[in-house]
Amino acid sequence: MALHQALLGGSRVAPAKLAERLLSSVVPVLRKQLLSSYDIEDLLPAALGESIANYLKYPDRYDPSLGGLVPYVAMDARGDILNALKRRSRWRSKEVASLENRDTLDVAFDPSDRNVNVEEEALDRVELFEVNAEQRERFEEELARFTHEERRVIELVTNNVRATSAYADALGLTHLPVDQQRREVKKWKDRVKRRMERIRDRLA
Amino acid sequence: MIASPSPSLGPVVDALSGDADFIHGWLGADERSWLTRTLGLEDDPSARLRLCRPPREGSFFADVSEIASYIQVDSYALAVALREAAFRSALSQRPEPEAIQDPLWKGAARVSPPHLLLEAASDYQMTTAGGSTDVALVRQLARTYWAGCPEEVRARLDLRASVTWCLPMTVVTLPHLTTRLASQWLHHRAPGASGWDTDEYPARGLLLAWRGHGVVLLDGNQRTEELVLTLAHEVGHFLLDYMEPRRRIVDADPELLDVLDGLRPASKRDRARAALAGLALGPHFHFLSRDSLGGSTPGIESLEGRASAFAIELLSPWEEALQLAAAVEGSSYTERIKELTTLLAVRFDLPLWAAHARATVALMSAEGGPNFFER
Repeated sequence: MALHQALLGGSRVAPAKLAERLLSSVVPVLRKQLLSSYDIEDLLPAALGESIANYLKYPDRYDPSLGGLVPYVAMDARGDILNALKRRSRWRSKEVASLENRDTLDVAFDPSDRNVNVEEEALDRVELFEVNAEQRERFEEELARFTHEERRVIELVTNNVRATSAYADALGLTHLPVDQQRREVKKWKDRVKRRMERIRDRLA
Repeated sequence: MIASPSPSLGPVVDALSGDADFIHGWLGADERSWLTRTLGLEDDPSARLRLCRPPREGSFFADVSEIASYIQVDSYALAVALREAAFRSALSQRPEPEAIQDPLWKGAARVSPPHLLLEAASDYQMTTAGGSTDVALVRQLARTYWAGCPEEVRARLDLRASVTWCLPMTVVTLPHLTTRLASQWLHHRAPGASGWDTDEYPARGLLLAWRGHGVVLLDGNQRTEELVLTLAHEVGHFLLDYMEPRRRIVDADPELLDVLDGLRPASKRDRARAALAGLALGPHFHFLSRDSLGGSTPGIESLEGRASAFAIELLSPWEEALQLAAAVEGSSYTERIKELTTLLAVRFDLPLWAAHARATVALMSAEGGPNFFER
């Protein structure tokens, strides 16, 4: 509560401190509520990120008299996750129909698959989901918000570049040991993948 | 069962993109990356920094100190980096094309992007404090400036640190500074900026200002006391010729700031309000056009004189200079001038020529100048 008051009072560091605390507190709550029924691990970071960000942007919307901050944020994130799950099930229905007509596609997009190669394939396949004229404009607006590094990653992926060294070079990571380069490149790719998924969900 | 990894702050940071209430949205993408690299931050402290609110101008020292303590970096290093990042961000915000078609921007075409206050201090300009200067204004401004600085900075009269803590300005020292080098520096830091079209000449200092932020480029080949005086001179220009007119415009009508910053063209109402308030609405330009002797127009000479007077006042506060003048004991006026010059040069780290100029004025004020036999 003291941090919430500090946030309302204009503290410079309260947003960051609250974000850290909420991440560690809300995640177990959501996993407990949803994990047994749904595969949400890949949806959790983005949904929680949005919910925490909304709270930080509009802290006066939270009324402490109605309940704790953790349940408040958890409820918001839970709603986003459930909406995303619904959109995913609609999208998967469409893709199954699409896959049946494409001989060359033999790997389904499944973000829960931890195989790196499949995820890379999946990220590559982002370019294959169709956008109409209205969606393209929104898609490009979304892309404009990516950082310079994120755009480089997308560019490399859409050009089917596989070599970690190419990503490391683009991201300024070549001074790191090779193993660490690989880890850092994967982090960047995962981050971009999550953002692209959110865009896809928003466009759906 | 494999434990899921702890979530990172990354998605929270991503979701705040574009929101200027947080450092992540306050700076552009390129500036954020530059800030992270400059401070040598790993992912986690970088994310925590981006989630902080940007420091406020009125409490910059306290805010930066709080943020620095939180992410565990040196507060002065953070302050310097934030100032430069903020200037780079401001520089990347181009004026709207229709705004700069306005005749108010006439004369700006020499600069690309056409929106920077440009001032160059040269040897000639620094040594010639010509023209009439509102001494009371200059002294009051210098007093106010130091009064707003952190105590330890004020006690040392540490100008370089004070600029970082007290002004939305960054200071860069370059070897063998010329106008062309400054143009290249600008082009390197502002994508799309092609600098300005000017004859190349050396400069002791250059001031660039845009949308409330400034950068002073200093020639690193100067002696330390000369470099500090040059910095003080540019600070004078920034406060007197850029921030003060800007403040008057904001006080008259905050909406006029959008015109000044090139966000929109001036409407008839804007022009009328500015005229009624006696304000010049166009962006402020100050190019030093030189004649064969290195001189400029009377208007610019006057501004230069005022900035030089401010610089001297900032580095050697009048009250203290007067106290020192009252204490000299030489038997002749010439000896007293020499003694006071040395005192001022040592006490305030002034170049001898500046200390001599200050000594002359201070001694004149303290004792009325040389007597009949001393002239």
